[in-house]
Amino acid sequence: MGSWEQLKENPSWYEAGTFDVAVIGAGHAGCEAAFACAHLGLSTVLFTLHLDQLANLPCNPSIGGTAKGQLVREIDALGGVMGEMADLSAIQTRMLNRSKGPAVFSPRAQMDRASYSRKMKARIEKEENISLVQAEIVELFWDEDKNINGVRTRSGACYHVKAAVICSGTYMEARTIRGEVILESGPDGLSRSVGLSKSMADAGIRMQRFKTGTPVRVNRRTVDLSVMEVQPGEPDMPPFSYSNEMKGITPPKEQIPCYSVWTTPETRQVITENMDRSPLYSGVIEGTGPRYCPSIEDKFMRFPDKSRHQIFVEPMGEETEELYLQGFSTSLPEDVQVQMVHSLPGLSNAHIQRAAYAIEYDCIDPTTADLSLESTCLKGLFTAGQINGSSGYEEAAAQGLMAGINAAMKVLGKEPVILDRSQAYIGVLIDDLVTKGTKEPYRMMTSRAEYRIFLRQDNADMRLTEIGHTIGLISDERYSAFEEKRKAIEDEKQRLRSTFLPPSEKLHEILKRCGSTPTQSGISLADLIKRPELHYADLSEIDEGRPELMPSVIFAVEVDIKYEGYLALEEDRIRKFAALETKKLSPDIPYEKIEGLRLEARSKLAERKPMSLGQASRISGVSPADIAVLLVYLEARKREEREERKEKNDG
Amino acid sequence: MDKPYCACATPPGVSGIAVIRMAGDGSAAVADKVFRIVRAAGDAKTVAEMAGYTLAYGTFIDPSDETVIDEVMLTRFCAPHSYTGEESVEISCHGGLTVRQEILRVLLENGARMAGPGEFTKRAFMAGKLDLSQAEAVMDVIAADSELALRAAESQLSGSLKEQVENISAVLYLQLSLFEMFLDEIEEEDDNETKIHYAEELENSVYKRLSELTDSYKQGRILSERMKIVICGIPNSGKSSLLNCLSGYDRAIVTDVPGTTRDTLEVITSIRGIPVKLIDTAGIRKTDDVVEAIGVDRANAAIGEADIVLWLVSTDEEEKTITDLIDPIMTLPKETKIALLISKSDTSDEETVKKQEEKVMALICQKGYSRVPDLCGSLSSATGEGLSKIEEFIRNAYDEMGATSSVGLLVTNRRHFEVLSSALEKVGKSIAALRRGDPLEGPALLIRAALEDVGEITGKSVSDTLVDTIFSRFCVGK
Repeated sequence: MGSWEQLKENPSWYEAGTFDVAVIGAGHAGCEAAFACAHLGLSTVLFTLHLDQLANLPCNPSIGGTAKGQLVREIDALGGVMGEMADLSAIQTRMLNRSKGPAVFSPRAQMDRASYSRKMKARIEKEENISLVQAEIVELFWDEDKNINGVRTRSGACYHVKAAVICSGTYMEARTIRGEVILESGPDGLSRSVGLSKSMADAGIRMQRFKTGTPVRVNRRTVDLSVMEVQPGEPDMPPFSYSNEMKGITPPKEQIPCYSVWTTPETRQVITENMDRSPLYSGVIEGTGPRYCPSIEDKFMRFPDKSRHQIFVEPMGEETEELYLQGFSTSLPEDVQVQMVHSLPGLSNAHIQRAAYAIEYDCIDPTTADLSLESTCLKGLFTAGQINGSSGYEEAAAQGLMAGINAAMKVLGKEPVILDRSQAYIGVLIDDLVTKGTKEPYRMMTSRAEYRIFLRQDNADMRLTEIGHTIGLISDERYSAFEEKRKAIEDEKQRLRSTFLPPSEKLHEILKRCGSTPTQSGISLADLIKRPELHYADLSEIDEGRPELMPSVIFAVEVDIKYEGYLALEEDRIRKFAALETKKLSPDIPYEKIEGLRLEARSKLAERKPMSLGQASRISGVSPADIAVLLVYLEARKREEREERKEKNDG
Repeated sequence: MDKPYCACATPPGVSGIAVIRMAGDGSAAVADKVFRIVRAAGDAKTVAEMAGYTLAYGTFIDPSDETVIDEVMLTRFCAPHSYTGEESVEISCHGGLTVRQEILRVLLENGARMAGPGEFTKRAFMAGKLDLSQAEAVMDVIAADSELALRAAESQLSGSLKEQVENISAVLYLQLSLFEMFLDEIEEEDDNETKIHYAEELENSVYKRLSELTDSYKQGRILSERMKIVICGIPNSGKSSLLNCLSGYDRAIVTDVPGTTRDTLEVITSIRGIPVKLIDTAGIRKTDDVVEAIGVDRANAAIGEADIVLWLVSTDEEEKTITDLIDPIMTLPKETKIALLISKSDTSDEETVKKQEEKVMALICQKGYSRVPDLCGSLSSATGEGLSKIEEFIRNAYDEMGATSSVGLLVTNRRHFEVLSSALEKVGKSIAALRRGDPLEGPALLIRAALEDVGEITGKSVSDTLVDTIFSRFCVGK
């Protein structure tokens, strides 16, 4: 199974070509992976089941949001495409969490779904190194040493590849569920992937089954928006993409609003009366659903004291009347869905264009992958997105980018690129998945990031663009623009620290206006900005030497100054974290033979082969005492090696 | 960069000399802040100038007020030729506990940190200063009882401290999860009312308990630092004479004029190997003299903070003045030890002493106190008769304090104290930020960091510091 040998026995199979990398699936993960490989100069074949549904947004018509907005900014800072493309199809933009502080500021944009997909397809088609193919991959080929060396389509086309990235989303062995109606189908009635999951299991990869869901879509013409609360956009938001910001591409001035309503007692009643028909509660659904994105019936069942839930009504695009009901996903039967929707204010006559459904699909146990997202069971095979147990477009794209980069590194014979938990949300995401594993679709949240004050959406470029440039995904032109920005921030901070204002009537007046205490002696501009009630903008009339700066530079300067204390604490914590992280563990350590380790730790470590002591410490079942044993073992081994070398030299 | 770390390398208890070791980059720089060379090998003027393996004689000072703490010998080690392979110094000082504690305090205040348990050994091992067989021995220890090693951090703790810290930790986790939930909930916005509520919760639950724990170290510290012994009594009852007797030299001016000692006078000394601070007070009496009145106030304040009160009553003291002192002394906290001493002139006999003792006890009883002072017999400052009985009393009081593990004495370990103080500071900052109405992410960071601090005690956080737990089997400073 899984070898080129089979070619001889199957006359309908044929050799279709040779590529450096095959990317299987052209959703958000697959597109990033393909672009990363192509931009790094590798010949890439990108397979999709549905050419017209590329980079589809089958659920929310939006990109970004809490923690997800940070991911999009990071993808962009590293040279990925999601942010750039999202800016071009945004119909409404907002900065979430404005009152909670800059580290949790999260940009989000409503997408024109069709436009996003269309523009991504056009861009891929123009890309020199990508060959786009509509085909279903059903089998992987590998050699005797378990190195992947080929893939086969359902129609028998066999491709020679050096590496592959599988981004199968929710398509593998998928089935959709609405009450009693179960269909063997991918999302949105699209055909599913059959067989690839088995081929992966044949390669020794542990598989699991997850579940997720999506709400109904209704026609705007049949909805009374006037009774709903309006959520206008913020046109003066910065774009997602740093390069778009430099080019002056901004969110649309005319924005399409979103709306919100609350469920009614009737909604609750309809759901309660029909719970016996819910596949979740009758046991029809086998997959594990996400706690963080529950269906509406789940919400009512799990939080009985909450009498109502908020539902957001979001437009799906400029050229469609379709509206998406966020927070209203369900797997109840279609007839119940109609009653549920009609129980909502303004939706009593709503016409449902697409019914809600739950979907079950195969994915891998991500602990069988390493931090570069390469499988530990099949070398050269990378996985990204929902196949790794995550949920969300942004989580998928982030993994796709890293899997693409690392597949390319593998082919080029270079070291993998691994971001750690103190560098990026991407690092947190991948480390959580492959180190701790997940038993439900994993969603990014800001609380998962221990160093949140440092991992902000505004400084993603400061954290990652240098890395992106080193990898080769950030152009020299963009890099020098970035360096200019970095210098502008440093210069301005320096200027604010060294500019002292004497007490004056004008200063007094400004302080009074801002509700700040007057100062008796001279004070630096930086010390003024440190005051919570004062902002950079408030001081413009008294700050004569102020240069003209980009809004993003001003923002960074202000955060850096106001959060000086917090950032220092964060740096301290990161230093402690780095101490274990920099102690590398070679994959050939014979964990089974290290007597001091407890049995559970021995088998876990032997299976996972963590890359560093820090990663080892986060594997469940590995105790602090085991880490201490490893530390001692490493030191002893290092000395043994030194002794041996010495003996050799002496001999 | 990590700070240099220090600890006492000689065992606890009183000895002729003690050695305090400080290692890590910057050791010489810290030493130069607190050590003034009188004479050194190669005429070095500073510790940094000294060559490795050389010695200097000089004074150890507290640079904050330039007071001299001790005359010491300092040995300089240059990397990699030292126990841990790092730059280090060893300070040989006089062997009293007070001196040691003072030197450590001054080092900590001037840029060093306290060494973790077994840190010197661990560093030595890491620097390759221990050989392979020793490395294997360390591994054998771990292999023999991993379960025990797992609890190594916990074993340092008395059961009740662990319980307390775990409780605090649980409350912090709960609070942090509330913050985190809120921060990740898209549609909720900050409101100040909730923040003030959070601040109150933190204040009442965690902050108070953490302060109690850190305060308890202030008590626990007595055991390792020094006891405060206050001598009190009416004017001219012989307090200054007793001070001179106990400290062994004429520190206080002794005259027959009542009220000679107008201010409190402190002497740091050692009684039977116990580090003590003797405090001589102004005689307590009602007075119109402004200066003397201040002295009386200070005396009362000193009595309030005492670990031991030596109450002097002369054989000829009248009922009235004795009665005046009963209230301030008998209302002292019950932990305070009170000794009644009858100071006698050379002429008075045992009979008189006995009678005076009985009189005092009767007066206390009359005022309705069920508590009684310990009777320490009579004292003649001139001959020194009765002194050994007082010393005996002090020694017993010290032993007794060491043996009690009351709630008040939970934290006795400096490292635990430092970790808890650090957590306390962060929780305090978090409360202040919440009250100010700062965005919630700041207070959340502080609570997370505070949790990491207490995690170093409970051994629950997996960080590099936890590796230290196995090395805690080794004596600090060895």
